[in-house]
Amino acid sequence: MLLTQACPREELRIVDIHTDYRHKRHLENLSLLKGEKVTCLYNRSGDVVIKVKDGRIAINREFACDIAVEPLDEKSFVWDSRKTGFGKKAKIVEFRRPTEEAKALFRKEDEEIRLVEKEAKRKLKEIRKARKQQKREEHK
Amino acid sequence: MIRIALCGNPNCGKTTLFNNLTGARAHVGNWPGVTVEKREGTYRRKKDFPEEIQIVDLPGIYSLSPYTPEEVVSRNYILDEKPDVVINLVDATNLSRNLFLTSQVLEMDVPVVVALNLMDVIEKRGDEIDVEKLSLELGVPVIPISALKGTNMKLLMQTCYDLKGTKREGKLMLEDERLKKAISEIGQRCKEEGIPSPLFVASKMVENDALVINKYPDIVQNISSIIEKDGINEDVNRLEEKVADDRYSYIDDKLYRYYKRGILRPKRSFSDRVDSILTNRFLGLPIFAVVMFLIFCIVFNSDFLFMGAMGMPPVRPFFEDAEPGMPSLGIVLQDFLDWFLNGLVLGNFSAWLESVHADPWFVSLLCDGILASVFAVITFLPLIVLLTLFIQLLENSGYMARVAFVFDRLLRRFGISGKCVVPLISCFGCAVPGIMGARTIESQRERVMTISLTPFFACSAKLPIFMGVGTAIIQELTGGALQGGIVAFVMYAIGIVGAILAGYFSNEFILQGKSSPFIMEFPPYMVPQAKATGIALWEETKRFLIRAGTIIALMSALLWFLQSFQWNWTMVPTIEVEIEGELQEIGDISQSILASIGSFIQPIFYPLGFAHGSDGWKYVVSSITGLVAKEQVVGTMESLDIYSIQSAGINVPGAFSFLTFNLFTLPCVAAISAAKAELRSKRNFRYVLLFWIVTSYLVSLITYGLGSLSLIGTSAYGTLELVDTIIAFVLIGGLVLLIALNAFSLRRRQKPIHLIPFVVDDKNVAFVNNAIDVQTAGVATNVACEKKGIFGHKNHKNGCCH
Repeated sequence: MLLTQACPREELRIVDIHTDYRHKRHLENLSLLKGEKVTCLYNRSGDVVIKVKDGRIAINREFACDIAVEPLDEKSFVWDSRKTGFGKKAKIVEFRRPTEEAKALFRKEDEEIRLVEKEAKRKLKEIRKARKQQKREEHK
Repeated sequence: MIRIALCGNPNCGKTTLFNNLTGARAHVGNWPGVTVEKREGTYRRKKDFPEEIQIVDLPGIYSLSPYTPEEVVSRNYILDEKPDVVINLVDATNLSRNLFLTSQVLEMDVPVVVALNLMDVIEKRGDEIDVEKLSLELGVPVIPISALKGTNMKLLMQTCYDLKGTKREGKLMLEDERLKKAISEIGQRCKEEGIPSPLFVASKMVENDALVINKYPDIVQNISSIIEKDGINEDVNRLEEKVADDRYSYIDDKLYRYYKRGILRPKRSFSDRVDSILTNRFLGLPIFAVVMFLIFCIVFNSDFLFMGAMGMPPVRPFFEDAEPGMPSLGIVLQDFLDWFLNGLVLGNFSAWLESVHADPWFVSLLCDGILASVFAVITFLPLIVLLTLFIQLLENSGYMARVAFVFDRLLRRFGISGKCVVPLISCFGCAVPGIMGARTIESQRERVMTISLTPFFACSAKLPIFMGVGTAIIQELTGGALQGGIVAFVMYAIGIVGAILAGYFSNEFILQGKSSPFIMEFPPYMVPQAKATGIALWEETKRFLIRAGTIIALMSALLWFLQSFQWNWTMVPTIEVEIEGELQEIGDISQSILASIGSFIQPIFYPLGFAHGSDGWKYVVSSITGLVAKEQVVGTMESLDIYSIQSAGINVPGAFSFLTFNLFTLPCVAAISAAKAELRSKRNFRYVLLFWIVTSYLVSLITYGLGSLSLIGTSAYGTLELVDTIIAFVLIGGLVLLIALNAFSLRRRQKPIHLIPFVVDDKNVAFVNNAIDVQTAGVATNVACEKKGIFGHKNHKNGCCH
């Protein structure tokens, strides 16, 4: 499949990059190369934002078309199709979407993340308080 | 003296570190590509070390194979200028990608210190990096720092100082033994030839780097035999991919294990969640429009958020105007400054000069000539500072990169990639950094186009023109129906729309081509740093005040001279004029040198609507003095006393035409010379100059032609207006016809430029020209397609259309 068809949150592996030497080098520098694992963060009708290693990279549709990927998570995402355009221009576009179970799972994950973040913030506050106290004691 | 170069990935904090080490006030921002030129400074704590330490800040690079012009600067500096020590700044939050550059820097024979930046963020996240083991593995010192908070700065400099004069042999960071052996062998040959940094040159040769291959063509010939001998049966053209792959696998296997993720690290971060709203398909553009509108409202709307129009009672500090509503912050500050400078300082100063019986010509030169115009310019300082503040906030928060992404799809229709948006938005502050920032765009065509569009994004110095003419002329003429703030907002909007249309036409008819692909790294969102923002504001204020005190004061003195003297070097005769109910004697400037020069040029501007009438030459002169600095337009208008006699000659369409002309025309000399330096070729530079002149003339002609339709039936609508209207309609009609014809002919000769990818099944993709061209496409592709039977196969998923 193409990177343009990826669904947000889907994990993918890059299979092929079909572009000229210069742009290919640039993608390599950004750690986008064959075999690399990427996560789609956002898909705006073909314009995608992906997560590679720890960086977020935005790629436009024309360029994302040149990147072939394979899905890693076969269970959570399925193929779906949608008709776009009218009359002669009408075309069937195939894309990936998460299954209902996966959606529920993501929602659960999001909630967990929120809880974890709250917890982290609370802990950070505690740590800061403790540090301040330490400093005060040192001053004394 | 020791020279230390800072190199690292874009947006990893090099300039922040540079500012911290040298005490400089260089511009920082939270998007890749802020620094486009190398910058030098000296270490500020001179007592720490016996020698002076010079620090060089370089533009960010992803690797030592340059992609955009500004990356060439960095590579050339490290290779050719041979700094004593290189600090490789590494963003610890994106360790493995940043170490890719480190692996290339370490191949060079130069002492390297790796500085792990953003360690405060790592700590905050609860992650850990084993610095000592990382240092052992890399073979160079690794210092954890935080450039923002300034931790470990002294340790970093001490380490660099200790490394001074030491020799370091390049080190290969590759996993594949065969590749390593082959590169070492080529490196040995390079060493025998006496090439500096042989290992680096060898690895770049294997990577097919054009710059190295052109430099050392003799050695390149032997490469393939060495590679074959070492048993690498990869296609030579694909070797660079293998090398890159190998570097990453080395980093992931050997180095990344020293990075321990904390337990509290969420999968989906705050930035991801904000992004899904800000870059939304439907919300992205409206959110940006609202943000810009709010900024303009706060900066210069005299009726803040249109609350007065919605029925709020008048609240007006410093001014007794009984307009409903509340003025925005910028207007309040401007009113205050106006009251202070023009009312208090200038009034008392001229009274004092008269009380000590100074020569009248001296009083006139100082008060009416220099101070009046300088003060007229300075009153706009609050507006400019506020505008700079908001642009800084946009830049430092990390929103700019998202704006570029959101605009990409829209701008692609006009042949520009979204990357051009970032320099263009910084043009709202000043055109010079905008023009310099165009260097981050990789395609030459788009760079020329972006530079040609820069004046249309009105810089902060044009704001005084809009506000001055808007408040003093348009607001007066319309009896308050059109307020200055609204005029300014309309002008900004005209600028943006004009830029899009002009971009479309130059893309369709002059600079034809396809927009380059958009690949951009999104920086994580950050709370804007108070220090960096403060520095930027201070720099802007300083620049503005220095300009007002030097260029504008000088120009005003010159203008005063030209307007007070006749060609026979005597002062102009005085006439009696009634000003505010009192008869006063003032010089008759219509007989001055300036008036005769102005009247000579005046006819060129007749069709634009602001030049006819007895005072028309004043507008012409004001526009031309804008070439020196755009602030000067207001200064000149003040010293020529346009405001108090606005009734003579000018009308509302004429005033708008004057504004559009100033908006679209040649920018100031500083911006023109920056454009000349960036464009590099004379042909492009001439094109851009002509583009600016022609667009400004045509657009203001159209503005006047259309605007004067509102004058039909009055005596002001004469032959000139009629001709203008006809020309405007002809031009607009012609342009619309051209677009229609072009769209029609384009549709007929549309051909796929890129290859269309056909998805054969979920895992395999074949790239072919199009379904009919499949036979003429490569044999392999052909066979692959036939094997899979993609012709008319219901399984083929054409994922995109070009």
